[in-house]
Amino acid sequence: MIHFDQATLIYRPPHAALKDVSFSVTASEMVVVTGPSGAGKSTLLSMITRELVPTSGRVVVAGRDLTAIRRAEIPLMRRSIGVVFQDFRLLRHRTIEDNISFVLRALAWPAARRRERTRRVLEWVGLAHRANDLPETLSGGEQQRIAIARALAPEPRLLLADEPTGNLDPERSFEILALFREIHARGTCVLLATHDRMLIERAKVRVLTLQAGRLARDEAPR
Amino acid sequence: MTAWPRTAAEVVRVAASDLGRRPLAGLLSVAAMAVAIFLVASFWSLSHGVRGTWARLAEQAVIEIYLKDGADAGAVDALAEAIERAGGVRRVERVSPERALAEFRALYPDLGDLRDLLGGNPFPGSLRVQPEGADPARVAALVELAKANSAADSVRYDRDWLEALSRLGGALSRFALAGAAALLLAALVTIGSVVRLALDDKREEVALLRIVGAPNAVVVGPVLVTGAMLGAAGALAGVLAASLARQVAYGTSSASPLAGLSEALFAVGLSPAEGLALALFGAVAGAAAAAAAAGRRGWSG
Repeated sequence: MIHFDQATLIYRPPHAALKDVSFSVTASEMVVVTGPSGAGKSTLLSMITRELVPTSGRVVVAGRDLTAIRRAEIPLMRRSIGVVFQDFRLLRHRTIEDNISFVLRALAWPAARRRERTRRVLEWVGLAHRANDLPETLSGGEQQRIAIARALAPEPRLLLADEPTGNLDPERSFEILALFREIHARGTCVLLATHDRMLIERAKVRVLTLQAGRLARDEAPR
Repeated sequence: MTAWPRTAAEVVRVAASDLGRRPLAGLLSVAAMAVAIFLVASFWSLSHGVRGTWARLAEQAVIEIYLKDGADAGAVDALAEAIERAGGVRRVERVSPERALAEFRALYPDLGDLRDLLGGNPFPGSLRVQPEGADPARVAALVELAKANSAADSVRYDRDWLEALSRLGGALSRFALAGAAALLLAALVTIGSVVRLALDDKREEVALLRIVGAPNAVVVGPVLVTGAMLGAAGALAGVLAASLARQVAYGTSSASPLAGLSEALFAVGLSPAEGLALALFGAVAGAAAAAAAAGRRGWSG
């Protein structure tokens, strides 16, 4: 699903945000990417969504070489990826339901299928009863569940989460982790970037550790 | 519905929604565009009227060659033949002093019998030359030819003042078109500002659409459609206002002392196809202004 081959990104020479990073993730895996702040976790995720392009090396996602992909193909490639952010990025003036359905509308889903999918993902994260509320009326954990529902709505093959529990207390963090495990169990590849040690311990999945832009360790599930 | 019509419907829906968020700014853009197009359409119509009127008057203009008292008939014949030979002449007519007096009486019946008043006929005989076409150089050559002839006393040519009027009309048209162009630029800047405000409002939304892989049509389309809608609405309003103003000017002119002139100047209006072309121009210009504004905000697609 994901293949990094000596991917390097240099913003301002000689400082590299990522340096010679190589690893592969299969479609059936759930992987945690960790490391201290500034180690390159978010940069790595941005390369997978092709917001950033390596200055050397290769990044292949779902069979597409992102260093050679045509500009017009990028939206199509991104439709196979769902992204969850630390700050949720819910649209404040839209209802919970609309936060999800507007993404499907933008992707030209037919109305009936859109409504059905929105209802289903809201039920799945346990917040169908809040469909007509505004995001600000929800707790942090609930808002993150909505953000996950939105990322899952277009049925992506790969889910990326950038510090998804950074704004949550430990109990809510474990609930969110449980959701990710369930998403993985249902057949979606999950890549989770976090520096939360407790979460990593509990996840019991493969862990990639970045340090100063280099892949320092690649540990199998314990 | 297949994906394309759904995408198009979504683009229009989002554009309308964006406009709804800032109705006053949108109205301002429409008004600015309407004034600019009103000026363009009005001056187009007026310039057609001026050209038509000028052409009609120019067609009727004649060179009047007044003959010296007691000019030899042979010399007058020679002058008439020389003018006919010079070419570019539709007709050369001899006007006797008696006919000139009769024409004057017909034009000004209130002035009574001028012959009795002055103790004789004050009008000289003349040659009335009607040039063919409106080539100023050819007409000037005819005038010079007549002036140089010994039988001619003086030469009067009506088109001098018409040409001065035409030059004045041309200068006014250029001035008005420059004003319309400035207003058009202001309208486009206003549309650009409306689009930039809309983009600032939905910065997060656009970022999200990009990350979920929404097609560029959905991300950039509403911006262009917003600009096109504002431009087309403004242009259409301008065309309608110009048409209404022309009809009012034309309709009320019969009561005015300058009725003939007013009717002649406002006789030609925009055809539906021309009005539609201006509305289309407004739409394209509006979309271009929006695209430029989006480009300056760093997301041209």
